[in-house]
Amino acid sequence: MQRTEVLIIGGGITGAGIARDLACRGAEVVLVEGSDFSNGATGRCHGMLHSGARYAVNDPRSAAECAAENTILKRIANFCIEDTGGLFVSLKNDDLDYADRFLSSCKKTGVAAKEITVQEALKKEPMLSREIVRAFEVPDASVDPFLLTLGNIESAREANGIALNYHSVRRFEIDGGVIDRVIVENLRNGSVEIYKPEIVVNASGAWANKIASLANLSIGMTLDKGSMVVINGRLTNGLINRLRKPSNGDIIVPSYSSSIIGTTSIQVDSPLENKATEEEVDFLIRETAMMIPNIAISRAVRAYAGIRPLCGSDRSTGREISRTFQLIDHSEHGIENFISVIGGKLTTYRLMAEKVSDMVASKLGLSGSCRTAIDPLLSVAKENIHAKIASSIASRIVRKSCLFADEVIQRCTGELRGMEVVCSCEEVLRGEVIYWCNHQDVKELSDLMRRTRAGMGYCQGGLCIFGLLSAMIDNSDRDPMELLVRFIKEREKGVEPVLFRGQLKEEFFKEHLINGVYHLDAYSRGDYEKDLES
Amino acid sequence: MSVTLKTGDCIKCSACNMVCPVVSIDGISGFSGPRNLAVDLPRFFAGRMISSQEIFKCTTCWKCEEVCPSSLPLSDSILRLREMMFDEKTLVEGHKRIVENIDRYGRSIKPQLRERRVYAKREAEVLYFPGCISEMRVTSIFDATVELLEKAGVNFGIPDNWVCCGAPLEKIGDSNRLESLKETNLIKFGSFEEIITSCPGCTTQFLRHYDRDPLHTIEVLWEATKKNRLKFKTPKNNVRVALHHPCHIKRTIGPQIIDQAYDLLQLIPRVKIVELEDPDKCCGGGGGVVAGFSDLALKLAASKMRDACRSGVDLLLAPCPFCVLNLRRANIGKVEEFITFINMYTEREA
Ligand SMILES: Cc1cc2nc3c(=O)[nH]c(=O)nc-3n(C[C@H](O)[C@H](O)[C@H](O)COP(=O)(O)OP(=O)(O)OC[C@H]3O[C@@H](n4cnc5c(N)ncnc54)[C@H](O)[C@@H]3O)c2cc1C
Ligand code: SF4
Ligand code: SF4
Repeated sequence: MQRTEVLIIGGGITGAGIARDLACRGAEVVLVEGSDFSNGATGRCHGMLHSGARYAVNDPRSAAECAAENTILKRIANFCIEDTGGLFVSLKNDDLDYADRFLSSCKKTGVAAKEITVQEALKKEPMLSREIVRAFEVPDASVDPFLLTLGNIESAREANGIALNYHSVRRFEIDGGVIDRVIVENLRNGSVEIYKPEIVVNASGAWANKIASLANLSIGMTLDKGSMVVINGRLTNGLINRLRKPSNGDIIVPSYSSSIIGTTSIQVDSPLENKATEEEVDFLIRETAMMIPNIAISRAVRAYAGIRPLCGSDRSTGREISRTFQLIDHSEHGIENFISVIGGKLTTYRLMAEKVSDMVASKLGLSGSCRTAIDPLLSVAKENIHAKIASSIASRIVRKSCLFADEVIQRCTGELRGMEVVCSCEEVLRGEVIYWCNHQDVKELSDLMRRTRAGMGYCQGGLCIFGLLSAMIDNSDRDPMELLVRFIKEREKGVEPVLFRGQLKEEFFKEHLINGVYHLDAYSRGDYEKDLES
Repeated sequence: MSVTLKTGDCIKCSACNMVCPVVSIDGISGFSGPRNLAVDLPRFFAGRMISSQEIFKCTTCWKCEEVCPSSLPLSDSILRLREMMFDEKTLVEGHKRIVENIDRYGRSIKPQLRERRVYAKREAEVLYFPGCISEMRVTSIFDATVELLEKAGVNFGIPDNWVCCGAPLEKIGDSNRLESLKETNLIKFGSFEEIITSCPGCTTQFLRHYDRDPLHTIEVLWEATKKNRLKFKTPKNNVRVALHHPCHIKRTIGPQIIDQAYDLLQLIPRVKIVELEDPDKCCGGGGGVVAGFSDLALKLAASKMRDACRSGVDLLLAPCPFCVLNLRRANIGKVEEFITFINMYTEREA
């Protein structure tokens, strides 16, 4: 049994942010995440660092929060943010009065929006539709949610916090209105670990109600699925938003070598209903192609969906529920040491974490104050390494591996074939993969992917998968076939809704490789040996 | 951006790398191959290419495009990247020379003085564009073509002061100079509807960038034989020949011209045609590689010539001045330009 001051449930951006904040204030924290960090809504979001503009008209509180946090995050977490700027554009038949309301609302909420001429907009974004009639510049940016989360996790660890992935909370033992023990299953080895925390923070996003139910409580919330499509190629320089009442298919976010289009909004019953459908893909391509026509002829690489946990269970639809967050002190409901936080945005995670931490700190009687708006997320500046590697590759590695850039680059230059490109879609080097294979957090091929981007590109693991696998099993007793099957299943789920044109061809080719050559289907059926013989 | 869009349908089968002649010589460590260069590189363009001369090793043989199951414009993509990274200051020696020659003489090579008749006929119906190499290096092509066209009764003229078609400039990415050459030539071309060329490089250039529909000499001669305008002589001895299929005929202006070349050969008695195992294997003569990476071009030429020797032919025939020039550098076996060969065995129909 392990004592700790704070136990945080959930390793999405909210939990990671809280862990960092509290650890930096000197609290003892343990964070447990049931799967990999950022595998919930965080890793399945649109990757937009909101300027607040999207919410200016209908949700002024969210808008103001986003505007303030946007500035802070660009300062403290620039390693995972591409400050591309964004545009809001209205098309011919859009409500033009809305544009005026938009501008005045932005002013009121502190969002820096500025109208530019259509010519200026086309110059900034040559692929924009010629049908646009008005355009506004806003300070939107593209953010890598995996990196932002890992950055917070590592920062918490630097401040002596403990963060464990593949640790799932199973049960609470409650004694006299207090959560006395938390029973956690370690999914790496199936063992059970018992924590005795002074305070439990429920930051489990869409699972918040499920976790609350472990204490016989219930939280009023709505689950809302949003789908996105990854389009190959960076079609825009910055983010493009449709200027209208927030609706579906409004946003294009450039991210690494692709463009992500989204989103939709559909109420669902469980956090596991996170599969994008063909209809959603068609819809998103059609809608966003009105802004960037080339989307219609580009290759759709995969589709994915995330579940928004929205506060409130009233009848309003997903788009109408405020995107601000809610902090619940369950002492009002009879459990003294239990706090839940739900809603919010990736953009506002830091603010949420600050509020939660304030509440926890006052309960614990901690005196330290919040420094997360001031201290850069990563303490070590890593800009100047590595004449040994072409500077553009080095800067990509530095960007991706944050705190570990030194060690990663060491692997690239030191290991045999360390400089070999393993994943050519995302230009990932073998050395990077080797480094992360040996990292305590990495269990699955998909964990490796989240940390290196290998397998995220347009061939969806077609070329790199065996390179990843061989690195993965080199230093461990992990079963290669099991790893492979799990990874491919997960990838297939994302590719299924985009099986047309380029990706259809790709999947046929991969099918031939994976099943025709490597007989993986036979392995899944259980007659691998027989298949090999025949 | 636009490059990625056009090559975005790559499925990573690497069929292109398997057939690339440069990969076969330099290995993937010396030349990363069409997939890497044409598909992946543009995705990470910033900073990465600047130091890389590798992209200039592609011979623009178009073989990769031929096999790509997604029919991606790989060679064009490579040419486009060359254009994007063109910088006069960092040109390799051989490419610098091309640019200097163009600036000084309007030709890609330094002209040599030689006596020749002037063919600028005033009433000519069609225009013959000899191209830099035929006029000044492998001059037999020029002479043979003129003779053959006369035998075939073609009323042709050669414009004064034409300039290089620009194909070598396209290959090194110099689009500005290319544009000005094109302007000059188009004025010379005036009202001529029909243009005949000796060099598949020129033909391709006019077709793709001048918006004209030129004819290669082979096409003109083939037409002439259909109308019985040419008569063929019998060689003294049997000749065993093989036909090299130049990339810029086979895969750009059209494979039908290769068929026509075979038709012509079959009309000459005692010529025995032997088919090479890999007749359209690139000889290394294109893409600016001879000027830029002459060793690489030489190795490709040697490989081709060894194929020819192994097949036991007396002569390898190449219907392209660039191919002839490069193949001869190998100093293995014997190469003759196709038109020159045909000319030796034709006479005017009385
Ligand atoms: C479609 C979509 C698009 C979005 N786009 C944007 C955007 O562009 N910009 C923006 O700012 N915001 C965006 N958001 C919002 C943003 O993604 C979320 O607000 C944010 O990621 C929530 O993070 P979280 O940590 O609260 O939840 P999550 O990331 O879902 O984390 C909860 C974690 O709890 C873990 N967990 C669950 N049960 C247990 C258990 N029993 N034991 C241990 N761990 C458990 C889960 O595995 C999960 O990792 C988007 C959301 C969605 C759904
Ligand atoms: S055009 Fe020829 S030389 Fe160039 S990449 Fe393709 S196959 Fe290789
Ligand atoms: S042949 Fe075409 S599809 Fe295959 S790897 Fe090469 S470019 Fe890609």
